[in-house]
Amino acid sequence: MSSKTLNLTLRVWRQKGPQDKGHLQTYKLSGISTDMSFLEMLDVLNEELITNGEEPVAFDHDCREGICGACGVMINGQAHGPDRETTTCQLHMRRFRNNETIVIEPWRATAFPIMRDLVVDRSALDRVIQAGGYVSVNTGQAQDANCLPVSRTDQESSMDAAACIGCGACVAACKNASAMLFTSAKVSHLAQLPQGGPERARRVLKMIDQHDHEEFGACTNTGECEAACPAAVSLEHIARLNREYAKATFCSTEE
Amino acid sequence: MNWLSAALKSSVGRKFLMGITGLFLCFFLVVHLAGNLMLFVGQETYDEYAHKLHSNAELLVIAEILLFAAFAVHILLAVSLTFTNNDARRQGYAVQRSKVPGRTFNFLGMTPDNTMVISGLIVFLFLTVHLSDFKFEWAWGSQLETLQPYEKAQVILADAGRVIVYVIGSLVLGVHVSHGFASAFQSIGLNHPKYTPTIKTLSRAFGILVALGFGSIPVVFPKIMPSEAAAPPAVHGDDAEHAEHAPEAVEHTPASTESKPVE
Repeated sequence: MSSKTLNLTLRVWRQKGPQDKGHLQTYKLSGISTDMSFLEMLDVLNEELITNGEEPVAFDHDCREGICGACGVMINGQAHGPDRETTTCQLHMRRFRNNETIVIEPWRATAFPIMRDLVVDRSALDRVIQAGGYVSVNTGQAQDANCLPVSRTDQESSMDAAACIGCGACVAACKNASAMLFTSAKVSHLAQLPQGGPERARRVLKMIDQHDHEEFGACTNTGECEAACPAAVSLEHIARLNREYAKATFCSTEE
Repeated sequence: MNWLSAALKSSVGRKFLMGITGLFLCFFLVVHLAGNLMLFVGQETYDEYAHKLHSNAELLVIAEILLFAAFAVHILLAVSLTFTNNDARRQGYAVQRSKVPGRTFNFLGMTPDNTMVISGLIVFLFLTVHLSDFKFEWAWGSQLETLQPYEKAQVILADAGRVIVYVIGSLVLGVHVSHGFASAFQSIGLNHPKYTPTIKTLSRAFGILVALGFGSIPVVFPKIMPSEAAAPPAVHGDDAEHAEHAPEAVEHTPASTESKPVE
């Protein structure tokens, strides 16, 4: 695998603060190694900007190994770029061609106000989790293994939902900026485990209430969220959420 | 009843109702299509079907109320959801591209699933024309009054403008239900590897059936009309003098329908 270098034109969203209007700014970069990750390419851009006495581009990042969910930008109109099941930090520059123009924008949603450049405030997702995405019953001491039998399929399906890293790509990719995939991941994760049982009705009602309150849109079943999700959370979880919601509405005493 | 109003206001609850009413309307489409296709069988069959349908006055009223309610709920929810969804992203992207592999029916970047509001609006406009033609008979004056159901279809579909409206309406309706049918199951919480692939295939097939089934009527039906009945185009939009010819032309039709090359 030979390393090549790329010359790129970047069109990056620059916005000084939440109140600023913002605009796409064009930058030229040369000699970008194809072995770099996308964020390393942005690091190179920022080094150049700092050297020239300009403000660096603000972007969120943390682990840079695809598990934390901190990074995430729209790359040429696709959440986390062209690869499936990949976060922005795990996207490599070999996916781009020499002399390509790359448009980089922040997640756009009313619920995700832009703080600066590519950084958005995703605390709306935290508040959805705070509304019920936990188990608060006292389960006592850790039990002996296999005391609570959970079928292998339920374990796996629950774990698939729990794989959500909360990056917000589902919201960004959705035409309605709906956080239904995110919300369903937590509801589905806990609904399939015995520990989540006692609060499942209250959980789904409260979480959807908070989801709507945060001004996320409704689900239109286009499947864009599933395709953009770096953790491959499936639409089946949204169906389970809908089912849980109907059950909680008609079959539980929760209001 | 707090719980019910909360559910009806929520995004999930509204989509749930959208799915239920949508599936009911899909069921209606099947029945309606089966009835309409009797036009191709012949005048007697079609008229007999239409008269039998209308002889059950009480049942018909109930069915019409149910249908009207389903349409009203479906349309009002669509409007309300569109407002919610537009508010959820006030500033759009400079560039946006799908990550869904192998999207079908892609037309100028539009797919059935991301244009449901547009296709729904077109279907709604088509529906108003269709109801004003066949149910309320507005815009036709008195010329449809004495006619049999089969003859009404002949007169209305002899109009070139109507043919275009009906073809476009049918095709867009097919596009709308090709996503809507499968989507409804997802919205009411039914998605499972066992049956979802089948539902998705059925949904596409249903869309094609609706588009071709309903769309074939305005295209093919005027062509197989007996030649004597070809007079009605002149009648359209005219005064009473012409209207008198309509029943006359009609008297010839039963005889000629039998010799018509249908099958």
